[in-house]
Amino acid sequence: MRFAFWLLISLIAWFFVGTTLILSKDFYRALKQMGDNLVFDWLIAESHQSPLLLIWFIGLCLIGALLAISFIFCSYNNLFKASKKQTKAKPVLLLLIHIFFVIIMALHLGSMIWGYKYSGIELTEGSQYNFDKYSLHVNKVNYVDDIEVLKLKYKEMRQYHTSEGFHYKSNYIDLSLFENNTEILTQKAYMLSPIKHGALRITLSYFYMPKNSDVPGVKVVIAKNYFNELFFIFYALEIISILIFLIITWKKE
Amino acid sequence: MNLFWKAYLFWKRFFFVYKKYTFISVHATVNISLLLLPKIMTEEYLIYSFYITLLLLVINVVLVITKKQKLTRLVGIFILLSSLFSYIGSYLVSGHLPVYDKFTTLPNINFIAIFLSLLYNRTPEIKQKNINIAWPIIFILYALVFLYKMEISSYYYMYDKFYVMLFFQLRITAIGIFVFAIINSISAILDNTNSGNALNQRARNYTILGAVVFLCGEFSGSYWCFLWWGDSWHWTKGFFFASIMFLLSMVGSHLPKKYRKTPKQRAILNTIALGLIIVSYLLPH
Repeated sequence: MRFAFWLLISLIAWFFVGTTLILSKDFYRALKQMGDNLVFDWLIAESHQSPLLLIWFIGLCLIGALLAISFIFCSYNNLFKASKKQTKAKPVLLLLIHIFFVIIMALHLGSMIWGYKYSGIELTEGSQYNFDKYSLHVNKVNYVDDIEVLKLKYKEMRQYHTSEGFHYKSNYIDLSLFENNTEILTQKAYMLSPIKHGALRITLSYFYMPKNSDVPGVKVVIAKNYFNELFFIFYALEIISILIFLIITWKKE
Repeated sequence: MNLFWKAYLFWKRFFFVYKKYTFISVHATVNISLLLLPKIMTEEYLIYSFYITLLLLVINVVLVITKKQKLTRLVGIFILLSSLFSYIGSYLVSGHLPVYDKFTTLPNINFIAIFLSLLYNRTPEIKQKNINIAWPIIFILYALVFLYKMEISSYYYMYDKFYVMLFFQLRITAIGIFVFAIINSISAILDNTNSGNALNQRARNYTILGAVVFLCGEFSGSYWCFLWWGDSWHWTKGFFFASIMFLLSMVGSHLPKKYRKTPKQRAILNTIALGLIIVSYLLPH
């Protein structure tokens, strides 16, 4: 318990260090770059350019790993034995909460290693983007609102993007996805409504105005993540188990 | 069940003991809100409402110091209604519930803390133990609005989505619950009547409840992030602070025996953790 407590404190302190480091522009830029890619790819290709972030990230992984090990041992030594001895729901629930937490951490780790992620891909009507064994073709960029707003800076643009200023149900991109030169789908992607193909997701993040052009383009994220659905399932299970635990242990003062 | 029972008892007292005040206040608030407010509400009225609530809080702090307990409760009900007015008003002015601007979120947080404080003021077990410290803390939190711009964030088309509003609203609700937990925790530190364990227990209950509500909000936020950025989380300052807030809410439940020998010791550590959660929320993300 004492070890887990100090690890918890270390993890909090480490995140606080992160919030301070992020004030540096270089650290912020490197962090954004890390988030735009699969972390494993970033570690191999780009991490050497930002040693401070690399050290911080390794520290985070080490504390996280120690915490997971501590949870496993704690779960076996205290919670698992207690749940075998007692038939009451409390130790069983405590055990489940800790198991779900470790699973969530493992799923985070998995999503950093397996799959791929390409962010901020700029596409215009008629353009194409090749990745993995796929090719993405943009058939149409449909933007019905004021294109002058897209030329503004992000914060200013956001003020105009009200329900009346940005019709998210009418603005879309029409895409065709080819796998080994064979068309596998043609679909429209809207804001907050990505295209799915198995574990592959094509997400429309922004409409933007390319330089020296009067026709809007789009920025998309292409990601293959095998763990997202599982992550949400275990996240929900974690919340439910904590809630049940709270209800059964809600003692009257 | 305990919470529902307390809510029921609260409303029972609310309607039968303070029938006269309650009837007039609730009736007037509902009528003004439904008929008049949508037509006349502007940001200016919200600022007036803020100052009125602040004045009522100052009155209540004075009443707490002078130990006028019955009057404190009565003014407390008016503060609750005034906060409710701000909450409804901010929706009418901006077209959305409070999101991140502190001018609307801090009154929203305080509304939850005031509601819970009034609810527990009615319990016979440890009567008046938490209410004394509640008003000064709520007053300080309310006054913090002066550190920020007094304006409402503009409408953004994504606020149409329920999971986006859930993300903001559940986070605000969680902070309100954490504020109530810290009120109990500080009361346990100041306690001289052997009620420390009971107050700590209440603080513990509400800290975990706050954590559950906070996680529900983060779940909605993760889903939003997933649909917008293609991933369930993003390496940003917001993510760092969210992690810090959740981990801090777990500190109280993981205190080693060495650090919780006495109720006061436990209460001090809990207060530090809860205080850091509130500071983390108030820092710019």
